[in-house]
Amino acid sequence: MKKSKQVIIGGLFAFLIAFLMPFSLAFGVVNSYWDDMPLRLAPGESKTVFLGLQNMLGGEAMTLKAEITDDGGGIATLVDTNLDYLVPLGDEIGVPIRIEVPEDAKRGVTHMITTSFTQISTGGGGMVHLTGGIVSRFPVEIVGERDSELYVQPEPKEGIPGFWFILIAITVTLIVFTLARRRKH
Amino acid sequence: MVIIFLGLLVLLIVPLISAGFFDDFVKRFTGEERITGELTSNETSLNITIGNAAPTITFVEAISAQSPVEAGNRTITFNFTATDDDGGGNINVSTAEGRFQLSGEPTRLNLTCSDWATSGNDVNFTCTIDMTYFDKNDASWTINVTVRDNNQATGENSSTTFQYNVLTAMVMSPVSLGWPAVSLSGTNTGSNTDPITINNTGNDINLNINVTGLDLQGEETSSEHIFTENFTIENISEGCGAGATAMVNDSSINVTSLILQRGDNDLGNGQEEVFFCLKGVPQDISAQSYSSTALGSWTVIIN
Repeated sequence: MKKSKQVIIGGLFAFLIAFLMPFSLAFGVVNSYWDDMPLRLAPGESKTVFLGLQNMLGGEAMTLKAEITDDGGGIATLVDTNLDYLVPLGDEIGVPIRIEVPEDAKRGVTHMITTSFTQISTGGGGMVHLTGGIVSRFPVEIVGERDSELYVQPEPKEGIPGFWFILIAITVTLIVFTLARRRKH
Repeated sequence: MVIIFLGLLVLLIVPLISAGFFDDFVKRFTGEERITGELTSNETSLNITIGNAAPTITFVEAISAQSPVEAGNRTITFNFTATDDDGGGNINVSTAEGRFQLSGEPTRLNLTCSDWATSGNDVNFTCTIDMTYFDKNDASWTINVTVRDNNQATGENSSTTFQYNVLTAMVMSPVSLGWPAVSLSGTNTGSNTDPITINNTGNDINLNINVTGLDLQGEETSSEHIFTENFTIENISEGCGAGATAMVNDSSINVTSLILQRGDNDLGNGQEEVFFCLKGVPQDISAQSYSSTALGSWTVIIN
């Protein structure tokens, strides 16, 4: 009986193996931020970051499910309502992630944002079918306003610069003083 | 008045070059040749150096942040302007070169940037350089451009940089596993369709590989299973060794023997082979097919 069972199991596995359709799975996630290149925002600021999904090598379009697995303490959210992203073959699409830093966020603290993208299974064959996933993470560093990525250097004010204004004022005062003294004499 | 006239006359008539009494004496002791006698004519060579203004690179177009392409090249095109005060025609347009440089990384270059247009002292060039998928992500890749003029003087500019983003990417093949005949008493049976090869087709580094497995369900008797815990994974055949990682049902398990680095896949770099082992099967299951079809695929995640 035991031997019979063994044969049957083996036979069925061999049958399944015959139906294996070996093919590859390929995709990628592009990120503009990484460990040494954090997104720097000041308390109260917000920014939408885009992660790029690439499908350059696969044989067909693929669908990837996005999920934020670490929202950095509640500062990150996926913008889209439908989080199943269809990526055409040979294309790259952006996945928007909204980063909102609270007003009371502590400066100097770094929050790690982690997003995973998992291929939605197409069924496949074999005893065990495999799908792929990629985790992309980036840090958000809370900084002062001037160190923020969103900080814009104010335009220099037009008009007479302070130094020249003072110099002219002193010169005019001296001239007036000198003229006044001459008149007295 | 007469005296002044006579004085000028004397100056004009008297030869201005003359031999001195001590000239021969000086020559003996110093070896210095002195002029003796009145000079009538002589031959002399004359070197005339005409000044050359070296070309300068007065403008390099800013390059926005660029992203690698999975297992391919990112082609980057930019313009720059060379100026030569001797005129644009003095610039040797066949010597325009562009380079992307980062310390510790191979330089990506184009030694034949094409001339685009000449206007007065300026020559505008366009340059196209490919970055590979495994080039390091960095905020400051240097854009270096050089050009020479017809006098071999060189102009160079390395004042601008660009950002090369990080790409986390993989190719996994094949994507299904099978096993040969397995008996109830069989142990340490390696898959006969592995290894699964995972290539790092991006430039991310130190990538861990996690596998989430699910129990395999009987295709005829759905209450019977081969459990995820019956499988181990390793980077060496058959995946059954002491260093193999045991799977846990519906849990993302880091396969400790696997780590992906970046590199040229064609040279065998940036890739890992994964072997799957069936340690044994539950002794109370019946003879039937077991697969991931019902409960779901296994997921291989790089992170």
